[in-house]
Amino acid sequence: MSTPGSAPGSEREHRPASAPLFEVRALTRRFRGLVAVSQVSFSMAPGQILGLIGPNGAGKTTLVSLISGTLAPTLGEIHFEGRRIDHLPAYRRAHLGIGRTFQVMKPFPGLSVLDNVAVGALFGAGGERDRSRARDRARQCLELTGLDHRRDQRADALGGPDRKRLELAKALAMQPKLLLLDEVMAGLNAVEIDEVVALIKQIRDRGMTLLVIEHVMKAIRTLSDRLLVLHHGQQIALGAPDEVLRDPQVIEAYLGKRRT
Amino acid sequence: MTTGRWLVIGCVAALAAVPLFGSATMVQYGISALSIAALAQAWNILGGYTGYASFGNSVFYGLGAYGTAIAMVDGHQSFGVGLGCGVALAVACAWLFGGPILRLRGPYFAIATLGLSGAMSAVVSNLGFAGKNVGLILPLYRGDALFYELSLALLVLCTLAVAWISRSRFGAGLVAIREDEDAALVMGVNTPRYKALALLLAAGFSAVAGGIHAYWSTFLDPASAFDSTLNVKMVIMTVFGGPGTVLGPIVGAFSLSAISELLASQLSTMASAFYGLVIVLAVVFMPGGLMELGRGFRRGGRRYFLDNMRRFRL
Repeated sequence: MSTPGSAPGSEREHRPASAPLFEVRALTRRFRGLVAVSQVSFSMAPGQILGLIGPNGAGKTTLVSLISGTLAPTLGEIHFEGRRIDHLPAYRRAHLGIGRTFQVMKPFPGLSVLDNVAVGALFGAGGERDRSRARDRARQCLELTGLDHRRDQRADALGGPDRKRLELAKALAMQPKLLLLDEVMAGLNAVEIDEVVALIKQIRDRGMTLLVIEHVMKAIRTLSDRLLVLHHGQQIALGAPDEVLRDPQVIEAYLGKRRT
Repeated sequence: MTTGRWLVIGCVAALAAVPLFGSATMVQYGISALSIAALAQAWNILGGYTGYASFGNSVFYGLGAYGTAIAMVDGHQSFGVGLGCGVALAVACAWLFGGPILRLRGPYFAIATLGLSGAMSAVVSNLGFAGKNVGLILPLYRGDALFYELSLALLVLCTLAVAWISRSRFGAGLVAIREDEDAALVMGVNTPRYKALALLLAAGFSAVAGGIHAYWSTFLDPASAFDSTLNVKMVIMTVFGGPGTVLGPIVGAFSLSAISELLASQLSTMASAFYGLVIVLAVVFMPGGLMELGRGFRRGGRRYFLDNMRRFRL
């Protein structure tokens, strides 16, 4: 997959320079008069973690929905593994290897925790045909997310933090190449956040590429290889976390303009 | 083979033997009980597993009946060929209208399917070869035993299909759609195709029941073929027995048709009031139907009902 002539040293050190796994070009989504996402362009190398931050209403979740296929873009292109996917329905993108979690969690309420996760194993990128083997894979994902002891409970009996874990386990069971995490740390305490950060690193080390929306600044800073900042749907910064967080435009978006 | 499987085979064999020993009224009652159970089971695929509460299954039943009757009366075909025509007609209709209708959700889907049933009745009432609103008279076949065995075979076939669904990847996809369609789509379930297949299956089975019933009763008119109260019965029986379970619709259909048969022989107005009462009580106190009631009651006793009431904030 490596392309000749790509600049060395621009990617993570332990990986060979390679074509981007995923690329977004001038992606735009309008809701009547409101431009929720405007001219966003970026690409992701395999194994990279891209942090997506921005104030409330910046268009972060809209961007994730455009990529996962639950919303159609007004303009722009999405490329995944070298093919254009913005016209594909959401389930096709899941088969190709794009998984996501929902900020407003969407468990299958009447099913057991195990069966919830098994749906991901049955229908995701590594589509397991057999239901009992799908359950086996679901068990592994539940162990990874620390939810295995609750596997026989109904999903609607879970509390907030466990629902977050369930979202993550469901997405992992799909064995995606690109995983979009929409605020999986919201509402967790400091210890739980550290657990999730460690888990995300572990997932990345297995070769997954991650786009992570998060408000917990400390966590996103340590996790991300690069940060993308959205403000009013506009892409106002993209680069190394420390640089981006020093950017005056980013500080202004979060804290407002300094009075002179 | 497990004892459970032998038990099922024993039950089917006992039911199949009823025409040999039972009285004529018993066989007639059996035919209607078996075919309503088959209809409830077909409804279960769409309403119980996929979560799409259809009021259009009586349309497929009616089209199955009309397809059979038209082929036999106008085309002078045999019953078998007629039944094939009925099923083809219903499945074609499901395929044609399924696309747009299955985009609707919840009550909107229910209303659209209800509209379909009204529209179809009006269309058929104006077709000359379908006997307009006067109806069609089919050739007479004396032999209730045959209709009984056909109805039983249909119920067994429907139930085998549902049993397969309950274990298969296909069924897991349908249940995921029922529980949260948006999440199912993003997790890779081809929701449009899965919903369409569920509708086609339900339509096909309902049409066979319609065809059998038309030949049995020898007379067919739009009012009886596209009767929406028949659809209401399918819903009530499935919900009462246990939607989304393999045996629930059968348990619901057999128990409710037995009770209503008893009531109807006493007071005919009581029978219709009874259905209304049953659906209200069943939905509030045991949303999982009789099948879940057994499990829930063993686990929590009376608390099972109280928990359900609390869930509805009563």
